[in-house]
Amino acid sequence: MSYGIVVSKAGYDATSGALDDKNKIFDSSLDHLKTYSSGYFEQTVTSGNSYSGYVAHSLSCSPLCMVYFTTDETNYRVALSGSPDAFPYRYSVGYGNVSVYVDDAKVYFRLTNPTGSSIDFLVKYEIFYEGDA
Amino acid sequence: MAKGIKITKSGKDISSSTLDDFYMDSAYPLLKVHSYGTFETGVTGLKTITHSLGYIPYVLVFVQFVGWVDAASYITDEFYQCDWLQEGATVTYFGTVKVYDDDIDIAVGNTNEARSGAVDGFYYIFKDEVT
Repeated sequence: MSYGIVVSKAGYDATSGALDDKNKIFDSSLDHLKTYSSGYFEQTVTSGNSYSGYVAHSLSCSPLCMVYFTTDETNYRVALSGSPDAFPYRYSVGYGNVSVYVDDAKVYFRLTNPTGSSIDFLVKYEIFYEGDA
Repeated sequence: MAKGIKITKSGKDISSSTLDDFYMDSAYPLLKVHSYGTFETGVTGLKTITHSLGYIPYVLVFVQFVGWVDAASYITDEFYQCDWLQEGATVTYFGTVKVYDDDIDIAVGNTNEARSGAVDGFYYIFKDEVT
């Protein structure tokens, strides 16, 4: 006999053995992402320049993370990656960009500004216990 | 009367109306892990990972960056979150993930060298459907 907690989405029977996993809100038999740390920082980057920063962690693995940023405090964009040693704005994006990459000690951020005026970045991140270990 | 499960953070009241006060609130679906692991691409920088869910799931993929310097490719120690597609002066760098009903196709490398060599990465595929 197994024990656990299952919460179904509205309109689905949590006691049904045929309940598809995608229609569950929570199932204690399944793994979920667990947040290690979260936070935000603000940084101004002047025209044509970049800023590099990082958040240290002690996970001993390269962790999953999700990073969002905004330059107008209204529209948030997903931070993706770019070259570590070139001007790393995302292809087809002609405004400020935030790249993120990870290793077993830090989560790195690279903020770039290819525009003709300063940009005030607000970067929010969530780092998870899950990663490549 | 609404029913559900809530778990508060330390020092927070269960009756709080602030969502950030909770580790879990069953009114809000959590991403459920379907599969995860590490991988190494083939020498072409390609990797297919089968999930067999029968629908398009949410995925997260991190992979090493394949750069280009002094007429040769190099691979970073760090892992970069897919997707990227970046044009340099003479080379385009890419790390992309295409998500299908039953698998995901990962491609990483640069356009100066088709055989970019084996690249390491890791992935999480969730049971939650992209709708």
